[in-house]
Amino acid sequence: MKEVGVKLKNIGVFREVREFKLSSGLNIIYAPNASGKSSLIAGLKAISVPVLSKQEIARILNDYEDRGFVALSINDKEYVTELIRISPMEVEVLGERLSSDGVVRIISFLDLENPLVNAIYGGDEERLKQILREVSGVSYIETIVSVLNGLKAEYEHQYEIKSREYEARKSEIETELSRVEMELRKIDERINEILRDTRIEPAKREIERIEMEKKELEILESKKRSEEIELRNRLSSIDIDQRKSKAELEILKEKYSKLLAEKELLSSRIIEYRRKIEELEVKIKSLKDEKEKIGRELKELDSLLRRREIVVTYDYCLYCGARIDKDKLYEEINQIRTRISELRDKMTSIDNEIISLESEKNGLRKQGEERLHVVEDELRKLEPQISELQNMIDSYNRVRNEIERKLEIIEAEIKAIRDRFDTLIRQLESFKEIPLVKELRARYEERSRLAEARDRLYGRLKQIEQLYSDVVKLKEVISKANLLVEYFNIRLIELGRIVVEKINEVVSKHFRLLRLAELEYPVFAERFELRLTRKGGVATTLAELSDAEKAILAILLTLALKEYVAEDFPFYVIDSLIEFIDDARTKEVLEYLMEFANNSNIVLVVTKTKPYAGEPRLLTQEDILSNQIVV
Amino acid sequence: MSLSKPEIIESLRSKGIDPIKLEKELMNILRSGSGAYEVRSYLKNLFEGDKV
Repeated sequence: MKEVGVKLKNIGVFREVREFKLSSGLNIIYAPNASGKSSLIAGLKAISVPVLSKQEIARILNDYEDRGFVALSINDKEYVTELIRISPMEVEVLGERLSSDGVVRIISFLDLENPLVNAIYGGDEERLKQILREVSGVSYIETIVSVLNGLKAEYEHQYEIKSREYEARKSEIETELSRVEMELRKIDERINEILRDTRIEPAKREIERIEMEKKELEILESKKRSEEIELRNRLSSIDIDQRKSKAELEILKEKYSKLLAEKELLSSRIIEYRRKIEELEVKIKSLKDEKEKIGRELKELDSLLRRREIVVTYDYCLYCGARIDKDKLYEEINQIRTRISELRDKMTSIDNEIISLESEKNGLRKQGEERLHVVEDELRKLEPQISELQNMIDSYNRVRNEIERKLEIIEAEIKAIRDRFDTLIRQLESFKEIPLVKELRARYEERSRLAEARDRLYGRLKQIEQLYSDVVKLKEVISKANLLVEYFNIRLIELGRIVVEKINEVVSKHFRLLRLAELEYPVFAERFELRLTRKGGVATTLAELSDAEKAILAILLTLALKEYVAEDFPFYVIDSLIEFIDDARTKEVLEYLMEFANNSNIVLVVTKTKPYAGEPRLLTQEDILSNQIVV
Repeated sequence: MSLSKPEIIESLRSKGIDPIKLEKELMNILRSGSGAYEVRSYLKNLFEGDKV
């Protein structure tokens, strides 16, 4: 990769098409305020990062335009993303992104909206730890393990209930079945005895005919009963699924109505949130203007101081030859130095105030618009789920009706077989005078009743076969869940300890930056606990670091993590942060970044404000300095 | 006796689950802004197939 082409249309402050070239190595965008430095970075973000907040996306598109695009040509490949305004506050991004991993937002785009940068500048060590755990994947693996454990417990509970139910029902049916079969055997023996008896001879032929037809009817009845049992099993399985779907539907509907209520509440408050955000933006802008004014005054004073410091070394004026009043000059130099120091303090206090207002603004955005978007998103996701479940319940009803209709037919057929049975047995009535026929008839009736009971018991055994297959499936699922929990627990140990060690190793490679922040190596303890130590071994906290040290720490952490989690991503961008570092250290940081960018063959972009007193103007290619350092 | 990581991976693969691929997919779900609910649905689907 030698050169990267970026084409922007209606992005940030740019309207119409603008084209820029970035080179492999360090690119410093050295331009005045509001010229479009951050707009170019925003364009890079839009085409690179798959997950940006809706507010961030909405800010990328020019406020006065409904459509825009970013085109990137890199490594002979073209990427184009289109930004389309859906509503005043919502912009959709379409097209292929350079990366599919959301982690590049935090690791490769260091700006004032970056959550890691915000955590560092807010001195929030807990939040920083949380972000680092997310970036490295530790907190995600913890979520996965917790979900797996929850699911495993559910399956184990289901397994226990179903296997106990299966064993109890099976034993009950088998006991009853063996009793019925024993009774049947006894009756069959008695019927055979009667049929062999000579006293029954006059009716024998008729009895044999009845017996033959009865056997055929028994076979047919048994077939119909097994069809009936199968249909009843299907019906009960549909009942279970339908009850489950109805319960899920109720939960989703409840969730939907709660979200709907929250949406209405948020919509009613959104105007108030927007008004407060606008007020904060006005305050931030006025502070930035003041900062710029102070910056100009500082520059003038610096130059005046340098001149006075030279003049004070002379005894006579080089132009008029008059004697130089050194006391007066020293007094003036002291006044200038005091003023410079006052202005620098003021600048720091303005910077702090800007950060605090930005954080308040972000907080309001999170409570208002961002939450509203989340709620709207969830509502949009729930709608198809609810409709799908409703359709499923309707389809269960249709299948259920069809089965019930078939059952009615089968029941009628069984009834017809039973009626014919009774007729056959009644036919023996005409032979009632013959000895034993009366008993034979009673035995036949009893046999038929017992055969029906036996068929039903076999049917129930078949029914619990389904329960058995559920038990076997659950056992298999539990075994899979157990293995997955073991696997993810191992990964958790690997990430929590080994990754920290690896990151510490990478950080040690950037030791030069640590020295600039006057911190000792290593900066991480196990499980991403931050361990900040000043030179000489004095422990310190994130909040106690200076703004410049915080900027260097943010650069250091992201450079280390980039090598670990986003090594292939071709960009690393530092927008605005460099302004927090003094000129001497900025030079060293930039030299270091240039060396890093050249060694890693990436496009490293740094924005830096160029003092400018003329009319406002937009960024041009001439403002991008490749592999040259400006301070 | 607890299994080693390669043994667990092998055992899961023999049961039709590739844990390395699964880890990437679940991480993508979480990194794209979804939460535990989506992970749960994904895993339920994996365990129970079309039933979910």
